[in-house]
Amino acid sequence: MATDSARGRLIRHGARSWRDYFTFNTDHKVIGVQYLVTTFIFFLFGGLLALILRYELLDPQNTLDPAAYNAIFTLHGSAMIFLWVIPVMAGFANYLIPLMIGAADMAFPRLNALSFWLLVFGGLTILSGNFLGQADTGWTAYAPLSLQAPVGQTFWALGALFVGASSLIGAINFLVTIFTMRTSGLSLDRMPLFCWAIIATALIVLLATPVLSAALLLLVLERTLGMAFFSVESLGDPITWQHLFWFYSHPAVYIMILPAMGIVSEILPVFSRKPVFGYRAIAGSSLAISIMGFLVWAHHMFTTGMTPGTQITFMVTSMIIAVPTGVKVFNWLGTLWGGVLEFKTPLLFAVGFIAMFVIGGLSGITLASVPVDIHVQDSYYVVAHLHYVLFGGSVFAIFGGIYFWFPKITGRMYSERLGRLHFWLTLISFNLTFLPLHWAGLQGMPRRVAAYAPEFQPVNQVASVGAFLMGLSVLPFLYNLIVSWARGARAGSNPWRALSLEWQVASPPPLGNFASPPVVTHGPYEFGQPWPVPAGDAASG
Amino acid sequence: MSDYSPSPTRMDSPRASPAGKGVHRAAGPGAAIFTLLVILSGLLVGHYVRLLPPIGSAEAILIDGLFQSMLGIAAAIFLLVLGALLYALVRFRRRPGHQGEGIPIRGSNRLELAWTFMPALIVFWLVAYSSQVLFRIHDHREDPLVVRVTARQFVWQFEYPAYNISSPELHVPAGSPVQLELVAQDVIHSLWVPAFRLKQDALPQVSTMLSFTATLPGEFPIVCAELCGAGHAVMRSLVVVHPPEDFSRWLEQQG
Repeated sequence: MATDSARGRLIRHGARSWRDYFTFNTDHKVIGVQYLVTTFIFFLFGGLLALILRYELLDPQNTLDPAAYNAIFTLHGSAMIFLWVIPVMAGFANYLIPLMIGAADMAFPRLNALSFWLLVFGGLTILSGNFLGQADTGWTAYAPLSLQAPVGQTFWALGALFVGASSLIGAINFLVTIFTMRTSGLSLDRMPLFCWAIIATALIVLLATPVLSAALLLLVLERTLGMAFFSVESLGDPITWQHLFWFYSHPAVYIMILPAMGIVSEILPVFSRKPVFGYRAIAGSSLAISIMGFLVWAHHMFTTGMTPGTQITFMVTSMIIAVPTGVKVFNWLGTLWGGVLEFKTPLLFAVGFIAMFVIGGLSGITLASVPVDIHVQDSYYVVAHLHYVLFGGSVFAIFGGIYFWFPKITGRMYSERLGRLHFWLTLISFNLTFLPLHWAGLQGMPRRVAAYAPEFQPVNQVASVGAFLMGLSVLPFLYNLIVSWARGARAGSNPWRALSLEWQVASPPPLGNFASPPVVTHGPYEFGQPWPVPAGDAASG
Repeated sequence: MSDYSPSPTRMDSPRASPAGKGVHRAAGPGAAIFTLLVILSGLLVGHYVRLLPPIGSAEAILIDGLFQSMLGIAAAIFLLVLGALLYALVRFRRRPGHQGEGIPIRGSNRLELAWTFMPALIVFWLVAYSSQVLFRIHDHREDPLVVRVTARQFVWQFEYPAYNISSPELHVPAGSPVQLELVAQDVIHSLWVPAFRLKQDALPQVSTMLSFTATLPGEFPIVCAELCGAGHAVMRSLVVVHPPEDFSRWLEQQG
């Protein structure tokens, strides 16, 4: 489009060399790869920070400066949430949605590039604040502590604002693309479930992100211009921050998990060689979670001094979410049941996702119960819970998705042997790290502490050893991807014999994706059916 | 959604996948024994697996009862899902040389209804049980010992207005109701007594309440649970639960 015009030097479309990945590129596949690689770098960065935290926690006394410790877990949480799990899903969606719906690109390619570069800009803003005075109030930035924090807190808020804008632009783009650009024959109920998950996610982003943006803006105004919104001295209210923050940040956990569930719903039928079980139930439960997710935010605030009536209201809404979530899990089991299971790495991670996510979901129900939450709120039990849903859940699915679509994105196969090694190392080290921490929280260890009572030392040492192993577990993954990208066996267009549209074009797909708009005559998971399944044109694995 | 979408040609085809047979066999006595084992494990876990510290308050007895029930139910559900998952992974794995497809089942309305309503029932029971415990925790006895708690970066201070006493530790008698009135002087703090299973945020300039009845004499940790700055981790104190007669002696010593 604009490639060779006057502004071609700035705006590119498609990648002819690696340099094009560093431009304001308007091709959805380039943007998808930009997102995936950039967010993965933030993940590695956030992971290294976690290793510093776990190193500190080997010993019950302070070894690092406690303010620095606070700054490190603030950056760890912010990087993992704002710069990894939320935007990596935009990476998958960018790469996959136009392919899955038979479109040439996203609806607004230049907005798309803008949303990626806003993410980079926002991420760098958050990071750069740390050189001027570190934000050290956790990713939750509760007022009035966040009003006391050094200037890095303002950078943190501004960076999060930019990242939020990026997320918002992306959500509008996904919705418009899915609703207006589906190829002929691709009715809504023939869409891959990943597309439904992205619709549900984009709706949350659209309605919740502006609320966080408003809260962040008020925080910046109060910090820089002395306006009063959250400090009591000037008739502000610190609890208002919590309501605004969680009105976004609880739905945000569904922003982080729904696309992961979408990825798992793609992987399971392909490696079970069966139609997905309960297509409508899985798609519908995504929408149900997205809507109900707006009604639960104050369950993060049970100990602020709420009336029992308010507490019970939010307990009811929070617990009900377990129902559509359970529906998904049972339908995934139904998909595996009676299949012909092929244990490739994507399936291992998808199955690992189910098992780990169920643990996180069950501890989530205990947290929704007000009397139990009053005890374990802000303890290591919450840390364990959130890592089971965010790492055992989202990140397992992300790994599964990366292995699943790696042949499509790069045109090459990864090594199954290294993939399996990566899976088992991750599964074991993850559980070694976080399972014991439930106990620490129940016994009375608060979160966000650099020093703790000596009786918690053994459990923390186990968790730290697990965390160091988790750090190592990324190495076979990185090695596998880098080496396979360079010299892996050619994958061909459809190594998994899958039926959705992204597998019906070359790997990697050409610029513009489809030579002519495809016509869809069946759903994406019609395995085990009389019509011929495309044969894999390369040996997989 | 169609219950089954049987494609006659496919069903008649000599696929003879071992997987296909397993589906129909699964609902036999094996499944019944598995369900019984799952329920039994849930009961055992709920009854014997103790993850919480010793019980130090009347409220903790109620909360622990609730937690143990949830732990048992969670264990049963986890074993149910994990058992079904592992069974499926072993039973339906692709055998060497088998190139066929799975059976083309697209769903089942009956199953969807079952696994929507069964969890919903459990959830409603948990809501009812949790609400009952919550109301009983809030059901305060009259004439409590009032203690004013002031939280500031990074110390706790406990004042007894009726006795003009101030202490860096919380002293309470076993067996009588206590009411804490909390306030923070700078940022939000949160008073947590794990032995009591109770926690209450202390907010700047707004008073919040926490009531309890300690039951077990001894010394138990108080920790700050809300991140409050660089000293958050060391913002700790003790609650000393005295046998009733010792408590009046402590009061006299302070006065």
